[in-house]
Order: sequence, then structure tokens, then C-alpha cells
Amino acid sequence: MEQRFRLQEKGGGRAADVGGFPLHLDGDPELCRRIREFLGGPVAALGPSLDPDTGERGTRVLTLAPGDPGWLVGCLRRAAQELDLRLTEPPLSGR
Amino acid sequence: MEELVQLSPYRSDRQYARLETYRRLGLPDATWAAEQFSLRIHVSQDSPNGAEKRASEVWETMDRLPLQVKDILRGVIDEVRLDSEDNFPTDTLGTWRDGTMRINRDWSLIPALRSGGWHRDLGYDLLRATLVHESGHALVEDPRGGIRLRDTVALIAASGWLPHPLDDPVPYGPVGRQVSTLSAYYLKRLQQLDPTWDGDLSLGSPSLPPASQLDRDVMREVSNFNRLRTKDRGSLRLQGSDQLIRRLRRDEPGRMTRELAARGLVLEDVDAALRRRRGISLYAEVAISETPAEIFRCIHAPFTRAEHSRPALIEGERVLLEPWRTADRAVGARRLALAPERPWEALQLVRRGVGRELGR
Repeated sequence: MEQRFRLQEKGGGRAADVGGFPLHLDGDPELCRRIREFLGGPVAALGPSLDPDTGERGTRVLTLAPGDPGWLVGCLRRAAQELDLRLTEPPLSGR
Repeated sequence: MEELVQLSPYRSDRQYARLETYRRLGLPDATWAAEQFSLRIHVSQDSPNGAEKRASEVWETMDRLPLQVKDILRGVIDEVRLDSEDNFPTDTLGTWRDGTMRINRDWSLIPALRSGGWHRDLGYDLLRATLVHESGHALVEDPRGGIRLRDTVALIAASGWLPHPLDDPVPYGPVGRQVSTLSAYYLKRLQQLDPTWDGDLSLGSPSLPPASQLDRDVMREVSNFNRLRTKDRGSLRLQGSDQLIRRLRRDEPGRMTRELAARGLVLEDVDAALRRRRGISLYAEVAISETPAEIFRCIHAPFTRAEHSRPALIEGERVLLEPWRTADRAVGARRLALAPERPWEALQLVRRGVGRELGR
């Protein structure tokens, strides 16, 4: 089953449902249009690095491409922050 | 009964002078780092172009760090090295180990950071995030007295790490409702795997297995077949909540409902447990041993907003910040030092020329 999320205006206004992959958006057309702007390119995230020779661990910058785990939620978190929306996931029983 | 907060051994009672104060007096930045943080500084000279500019960025970022992180740099880190890109695995920003923090000074060579689309403060945000995250590792794992393993496990439990409900249904029942009961359960299971996991010792203690074994014992997937065949001691097989939700969504709902019922659970129990606490970041969900340092970063670095994981932040405040805050309150607020302060140890570093390595 795909990942699904809902983005809704705070206070319970317009809403849009986003699923992936492949990506699809349903709901308020204007909100969908604005959210779609965040679903284009790669997303930067931090992750662990490991030097296999020395065992030294550290922090590295990751580029998440569309379809990578974490890419969709990364895009939607950015959209929620920029557009002041609430990001939720439907329950497992509501598939 | 409430446990008394153990005072942080890293809290310093010395004041800090600003980098600007040293610059105004014509003193080198590296002298500021040596005197204010008792740090040895090393800048690799193999490709000197831009080294001095990059070093300035690092010192300016250190100057703006929160007081607790400054105390960790002063009390736990012995050396900061600015090394060139070829001394790191691909795309690495920085590392920490055994009192040495290494910062990659060639971020312009990291492909992910070449895009023109990043906002102008990304370099500063990432540098700050790296310094705070690696200081978080030092706080948790420092051999001279990091936080106790039972507190590390509490941070893991508060960050939404759970087993698959068909592997272990216990965390989806009453045990999983409170962080305290869930972390006690995880610690007990960890000690069943390996009795040397002593909850009262720090991960950096030589008497405990290394942090990499924590990942193995808590996260690694070991099938029952392999476990019997190789006499493997198994694993708690915890997964990050996002990863687990993705996995559960792939399962066939009818079969899942039947198998859960055989273990006394319904899908709503699983859903409620998964939503109760969430991972703080993608980074924190990659490895258990990264979770505490990521919580520390999310508390201290405003670059990260992690409202979706309040339980982890609350537990992080209790475990990572409160011991330091309590110690800080006991002594009273520190004001900025108005002039360079030169303790004996720092003077020795400056006399040995450590503060002049940049050749200013």
C-alpha cells in the first residue's frame, strides 16, 4: 500500500490528500496547485556517514530523489511549514 | 519516587569571551578557540586555498552556539581539526571520536551542496547542525562520563522505535503507553541478549559493548531460522516509526488483522502505538546510535523543526539538558567575559604555538 498524507489549513479549512508513488493529489484544486510546487526536485537531509576503514562515524548530507524513502514526507513537511498547513497521516485501518 | 537529577560534569563555571573581542584586540581566531575552549586546533595544509576563510566560518559558528554546546566543546572535545575533503567518506560534513571533532572544510566539493537553489544561510545552518549533532554524540558517549545507558534507551523509546507487532506485541499493550515502562522493557530485553549492557553505565564506558553493537542488538533483523542455525543471540529488531508504517501499509489488511488478533491485538492498538511517538528526523531513524545526538541537535538547532515528535523532545530535555541546566542554575547565570580570559592550560597551548597555526 502507498504512503498517504493529508495537508489541511489550520482551523479545519481546505484540504488536500497526497499519495505516492506514483504521486497523486486530490482535494482543493488551489491547495493542490500550491503543494505541487514543493513536489519537484530533490530534498536535502542529514544522515550518518561511516568510514569503513577506521569505523569513524559522522554526519553527511543526503540528496533524496523522488521515490526515495523520506523524500515525500520531506517535501510535505516543507510545504506544511511554508504554507502553514497541518500534515497528518490517515490511520492504518483506514486504507 | 522521582529520581534526583545528576549534575552535568561538563558545565563550566568560566565565562566566555566573544570572538569579536579577540578580533578587536588583533588576536588570532585560533587563539580565541584555544583560550576559550581549551581546544587544540589543526588546519590541514594540503590544499591551503580558502582554508583561512573556512576556519573563520567555523569559529564564527562556534561563537554563536548555545552555552551548553560551548561547554561540551570546552569540557569534552580536546581538538578540532579542519581536514580536506579527501580525508572523509563521500559527502561527510563532520565527525566526532575520542575527543576529536573533525570538520570537512571543503563543503563546496560536496555535490549535494552545489545546487544554486539552497537558501543563503544553508552553509551556516548545516555547520551549526553538524557541531551540535557531534557534540550530542560526545555528551552521550564520552568515555569520561556520558549519560547512562538507561537514559539512552529512554530516548530511543521516546522516539517511536518499535518492533513489528507480529514479532513482539508487548510494546503495543499497556507497557508501551509510558516512555518509562517501554524503556524499562527494552533495557530488560537488551540485557537478556547480552548481560554486559549495564543501564547505569554510559555508552562510552569501556565496560559496555560499543555503540555499533547497540545498533546490532537493537535494530538488526535476525530471522528465527538464522538465529537457530548460527546460534545468533538475536535482536530486539526495532524499527523507526516511519519505516514501520511504510512496511505495515504493504501488508495485506485481512491477514494482518487475523495475525494481530492471534496475539491479542487489533489494528487500532498498533496505529495508536505508532502515532503516540514519532521519529525526530530521517537521520534519527537510520540508526539507533544516532537518535540521542539527533534529539540533541533538534533541541538546540533552530534549523530543524520537529514538532511532530514532542515526546522525544520532552525526554531529551529531561535527559540531555536538565542535568546541565540544574548545574548552571546552582552556580548562577554567566555573563560574557569582557576581556580574553587566559587559564593556565590555554596559555600552554598558546605558548606551544597551537593558536598560531593559521599563520596570522
